[in-house]
Amino acid sequence: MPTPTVSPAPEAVVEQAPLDDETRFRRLFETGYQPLVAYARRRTLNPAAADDVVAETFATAWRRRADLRPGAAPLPWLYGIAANVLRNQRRSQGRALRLVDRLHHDPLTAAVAEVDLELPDPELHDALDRLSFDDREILRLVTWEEMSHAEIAETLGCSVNAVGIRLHRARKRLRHELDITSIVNPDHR
Amino acid sequence: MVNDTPNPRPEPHHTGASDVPSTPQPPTDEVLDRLRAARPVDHNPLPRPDGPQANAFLESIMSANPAAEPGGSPTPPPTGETGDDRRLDPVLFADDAEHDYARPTVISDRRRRRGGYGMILATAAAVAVLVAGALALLPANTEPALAAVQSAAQATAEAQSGRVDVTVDLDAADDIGTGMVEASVNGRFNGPDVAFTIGAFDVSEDGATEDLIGELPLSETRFVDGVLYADVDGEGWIGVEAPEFVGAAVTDLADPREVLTAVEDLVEATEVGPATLTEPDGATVETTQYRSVVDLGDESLSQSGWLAGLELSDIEAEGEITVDLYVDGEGWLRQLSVSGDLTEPEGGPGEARFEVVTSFYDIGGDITIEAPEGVEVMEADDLLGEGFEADFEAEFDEEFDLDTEDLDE
Repeated sequence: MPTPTVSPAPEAVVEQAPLDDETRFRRLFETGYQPLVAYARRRTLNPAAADDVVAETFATAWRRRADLRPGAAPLPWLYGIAANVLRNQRRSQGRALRLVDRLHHDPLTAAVAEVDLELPDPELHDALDRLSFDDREILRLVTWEEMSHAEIAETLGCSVNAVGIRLHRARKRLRHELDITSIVNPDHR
Repeated sequence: MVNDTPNPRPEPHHTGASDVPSTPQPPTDEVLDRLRAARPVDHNPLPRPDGPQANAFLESIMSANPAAEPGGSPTPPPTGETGDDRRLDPVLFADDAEHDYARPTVISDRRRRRGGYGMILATAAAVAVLVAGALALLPANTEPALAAVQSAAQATAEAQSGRVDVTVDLDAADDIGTGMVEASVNGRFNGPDVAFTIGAFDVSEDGATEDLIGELPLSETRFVDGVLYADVDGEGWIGVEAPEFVGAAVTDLADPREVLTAVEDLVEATEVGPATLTEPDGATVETTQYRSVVDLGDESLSQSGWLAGLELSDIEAEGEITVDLYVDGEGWLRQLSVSGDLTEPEGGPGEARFEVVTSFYDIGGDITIEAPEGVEVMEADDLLGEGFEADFEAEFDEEFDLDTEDLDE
């Protein structure tokens, strides 16, 4: 299986030199587009739904472009906006989306739910889905996006210490959910 | 698809050069390892940012809301708005009580407005320096009043136990805007163990008040036997073994008795007369009030060299700082009040008014500070990531530099 990379080149960071809005945003787009698509797909499990998240994220980023400080890493900022997009989508779609979420992990209905990504360890994903959005997100940022505490703090808009505390709690909760799963079905380990 | 990148398993990002301090990865454990291995695998190609579809999308969003002002200026808020458009932007400001911290652009706003808060911080820092200078540089005097307050401060500082309330009230203004800080802390101590709760922490800029206590995750903090316990988010206690490099500093900062050491530097005090203090439970206590006043216009202060070695030495202010001390009949220092009303020299627009009141009561009383039961105590590295110490120091240095830059503005 080929393993492409979406890591931006070192120069693909919003530069400190004064640039006009449009140039800065174009560079932000070049840097963040593919990582954001990958981020959104891992959460929506569907490229079309991910495209919607990416579109709304960049539209919001363009409106709020002045908030990205010169020299700041763009991805934590973009992920923070994307997390709010996802959160808003979940809230607006309510039960329907939660139902689809459940269907995502049901092999019999996966095709109906248009899950286009392969999900290793479905038991773990089931346990992950039972956590709150915030618990899930901090765990995913650490493991799937491989972000540092400082980057996550930028993303979530909280302190580095708060990241450590929230991650500790989220790990405990996920471990608890996995323990429940293993009790219900001892084969799942 | 010519413009797409094959994407069987996209790699995580690297943010590249950034002003985000590099923090080591969180500790590895079985759950996180399993989660890493369970990352969804995307067999679909990733679209390229320079592909026609992405380009069309980019042009559409940029043309839909073109730059209002060249050079990175923010889009002006709608008429009548203050610029804090959290109510107008449901994406950025997800109005969900469960997720009130996840507002990255609110934080960004704060950082962008750091000049404003910098003004407040600068004023607070200046106050701290000036108070220290005032306490140390008052004219030499050997009146009995001085001996009385210093003896009382030492007695209270050495008390085995007690309770303390601290209130901070600061208003500042300059030609940029106005700022305010109001805070209160309730604490208790027993030997080396300390507990405190932040009762209020409001900050405002240009009249818009923010309740920071709503964002602070801590509701109570205890230092017991060198372990920091915090009730975070009201969801229960956590315990962290204080790292060596912060242990003494943190406990000193948290110990309300530390403020009393400044009284040792006093070189003058006069007796004002009897004064009645009211304790939190409504009881009254008769005290003798003593006062020290320093005129910042006194050349001995500016020429003393006390401020010369500090980054804040270029901050100039006119006015008086008043230090009031209240000693009860048993010889305890019951209250220390430091207040001032400062203005910018030569008719400048800057001004600041502040009052910091530290009240001690129930001194020597039966104060119990215990470690919460059943709390797992973690090593700091386990909680914050291995190697946190170096990154913390780097972050601190960066913050300090930022603040001094603010002061230079």
